[in-house]
Amino acid sequence: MPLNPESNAHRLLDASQERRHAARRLVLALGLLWIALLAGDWTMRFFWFRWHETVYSRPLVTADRPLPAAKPSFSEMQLAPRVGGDLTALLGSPAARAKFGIERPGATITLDPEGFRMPIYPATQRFDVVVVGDSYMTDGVPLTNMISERIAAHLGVPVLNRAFMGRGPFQSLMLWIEQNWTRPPHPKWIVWGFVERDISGAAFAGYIYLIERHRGRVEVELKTAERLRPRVIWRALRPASLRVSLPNSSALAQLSRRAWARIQYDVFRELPADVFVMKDPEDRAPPMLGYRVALDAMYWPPAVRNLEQVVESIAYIQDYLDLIGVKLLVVPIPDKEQVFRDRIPQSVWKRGEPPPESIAPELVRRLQERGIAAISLYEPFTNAAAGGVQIFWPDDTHWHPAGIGLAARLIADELRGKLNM
Amino acid sequence: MLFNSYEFLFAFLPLVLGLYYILRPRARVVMLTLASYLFYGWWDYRFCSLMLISTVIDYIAGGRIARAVDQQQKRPWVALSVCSNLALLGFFKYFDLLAGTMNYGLAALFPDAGWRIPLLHVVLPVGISFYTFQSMSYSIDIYRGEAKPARSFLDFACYVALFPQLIAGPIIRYRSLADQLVERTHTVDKFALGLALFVCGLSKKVLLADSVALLVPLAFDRAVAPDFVHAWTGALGYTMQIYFDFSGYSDMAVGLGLMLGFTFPQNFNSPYKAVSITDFWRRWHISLSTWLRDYLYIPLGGNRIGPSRTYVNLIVTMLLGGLWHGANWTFVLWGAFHGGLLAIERALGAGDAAYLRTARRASTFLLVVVGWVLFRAADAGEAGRVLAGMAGLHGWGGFDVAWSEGGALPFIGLFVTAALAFCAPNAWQVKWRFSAAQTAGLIALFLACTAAIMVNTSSPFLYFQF
Repeated sequence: MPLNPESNAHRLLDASQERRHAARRLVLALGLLWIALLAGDWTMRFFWFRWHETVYSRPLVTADRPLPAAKPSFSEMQLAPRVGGDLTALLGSPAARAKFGIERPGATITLDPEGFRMPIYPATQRFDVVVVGDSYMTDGVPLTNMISERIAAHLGVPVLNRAFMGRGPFQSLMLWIEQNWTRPPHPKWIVWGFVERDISGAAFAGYIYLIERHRGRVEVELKTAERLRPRVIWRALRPASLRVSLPNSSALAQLSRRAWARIQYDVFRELPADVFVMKDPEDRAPPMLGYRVALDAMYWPPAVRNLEQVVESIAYIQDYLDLIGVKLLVVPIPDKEQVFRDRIPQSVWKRGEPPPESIAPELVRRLQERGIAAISLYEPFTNAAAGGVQIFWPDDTHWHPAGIGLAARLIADELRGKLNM
Repeated sequence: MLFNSYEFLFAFLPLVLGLYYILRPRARVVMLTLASYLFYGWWDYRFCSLMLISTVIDYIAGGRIARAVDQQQKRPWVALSVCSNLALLGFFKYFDLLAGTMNYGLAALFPDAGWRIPLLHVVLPVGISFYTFQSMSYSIDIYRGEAKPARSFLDFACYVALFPQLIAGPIIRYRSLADQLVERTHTVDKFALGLALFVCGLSKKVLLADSVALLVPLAFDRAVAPDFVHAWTGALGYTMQIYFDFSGYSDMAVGLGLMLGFTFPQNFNSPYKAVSITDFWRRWHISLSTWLRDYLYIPLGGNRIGPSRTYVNLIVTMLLGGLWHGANWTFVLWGAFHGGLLAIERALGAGDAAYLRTARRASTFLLVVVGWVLFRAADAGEAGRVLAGMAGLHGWGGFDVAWSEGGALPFIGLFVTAALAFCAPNAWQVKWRFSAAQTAGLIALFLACTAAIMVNTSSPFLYFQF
């Protein structure tokens, strides 16, 4: 065989004066472009995304030094009217956003002294029920549509909202523990809602670590300023974490995604990979948008879901909360794609197989067997959806006020007996 | 770490290049070795220990072979080198295949017996096939008197771990890199050429291979058997994906090498323009086919022992070459298929009439596509289903259905890749003058690649699994 690959590379090299000059121009142009992109992206990472805060921690609170209130009193926040939800925001193209987006009116909402969405309440108010979770549990405008207010209306007692947006299902519960562990009186119940796509053994196993860290801090009762110094979070610097956090905190990535989504729709009439259209097979309802991340999660194998680990972690958290006499009511919220499984187009099925059914009922059954209060919204939601109730916004991953109302009624029914009302 | 990942392009590479050009020559080898281990450990730091073990054994074996006075003293050391590398490869890559196959046989022979060999489900260390072959060739070359032992352990460790070619080749002999480890030239021209090849390779991977990859599920990994249109679309999609993916990686490796002053060999030479399977293997993954020729085919006797033994040697070489690609019987089938075709071509002799060239090129391409179906399928059953679909045995299907499932962009990608593969010169044939047009084109490609990488989470190169 006439192979002599070693010599081939030299063929490419050319030492002519003309090419050397042109080569300088290429290196300069590409090098400057690269450096500009690099510098811009890393600058934005620190100044805009505040990426360093994910790898560098300052202790929020200790047993002897509680977190100061963020603001001295209640404040107001204006929410501007808008068209479309979080899924239309992924579409990039204004034409696509206009096609699928639904108008939402503006509103004025109040934030309590610690910055959570809450109507005004007296400083001495005692709450027997607290709601934690992510955006699902604090969604709803005006505030009377928020799930904590809906539950309060059903029960006739005040309910405290401690859910906040965008930090995952556990952060708000952890923050509540951080802030209130040493500040009695404690509520009787914490309603913890999280969406089905967030249920995985690996994530829930990590929650044990955070609880354990808190337990250690409380037990040791750090007192000196030295021991409260900021620390590097080494876990956040592992390759697996950086692979996610670097692209997610990249301004270039944000710009590119938006630009590409726009080209995709305006030129090819295609939606970005994160979003797909779900149509009613009988054409009774207008099309709605589906979220690819939720669809992917539906196909997770049992080993990834790892319900044993999820139940163990929740049981661990419940055991910890038992120390201060607080009970959990766990509420797995089905994803929109799960409730409208029959509307997921075949073109987005994985391996040509239809998406598997919800795991929420099974999780609830296992939790109840362990003596942990939990309710499944899956069956009531699918029944209501089949009856034409609008459970979710068509252009958003979040639930519609009607869905919030239904969930609140079911949660209130569950709590009513437990609060001896 | 992947070449097309954010962390490589916007953290690792600028840092390594910056450090490289401010350090003194000797310190550069140290830095490159450390950086290569960081690059490799990014997947799993435990993999680094395997590479280090292979490096240490081959370095010691190479030194002992060089110092040995006769063949008898050399043999145990070369055997140690070959056996330890093959043992590493065999355990991490083939244990479960072997155990599974034996369990299958045991179940057939003794259906009532409850005992089976336990499967270990060992995680395959990335690129192990490449660096073990590379490291092993060092001691074999010294044994044959074709190479001198490494000047220092650091030089050898740098050669084995060198990050541009560590994961997916090209497989480089120590003798072709030994002098470069000691002394390299650094010129703007070389750096610019490296940049150009890197950007070309990145574009092949990110803009083309990843785009046509979306057509592959039309034929593979489906619960239902694909019809004619789906099967052909998926098979052609994979044919283009694997070429642009792998040759893109090779271009990037060569480009990175040039930026660091190294000159690596060409690994692809427009393989889909081949006029025979023999020609195809002169153009596809050239460093592997050269390796197999020098360390397997020729030692087996090559074509020196007569025609029938030549055919056997060709089939055995390709069969083992197929198995090298992965622990699945489909790879063995693929190797046997190509080995059989090489033997047939050898038996029939090579006519080279000009009027037949187009027909020969088309038939070669067709056979290569069939081969890729065997290569890509999860098992022989799926390969059979896809091939039956390509023969129209599962119905004809509609192009409009395939278009709506695949999307417009992947189909456009398929036409573009086909045009480039059949009609355009490859990156090594382009006359790099760095004219204003070429510079503008490369900048545009770099920007498009950056955007595409940001839009999609980076996808691994196909050849990483081998």
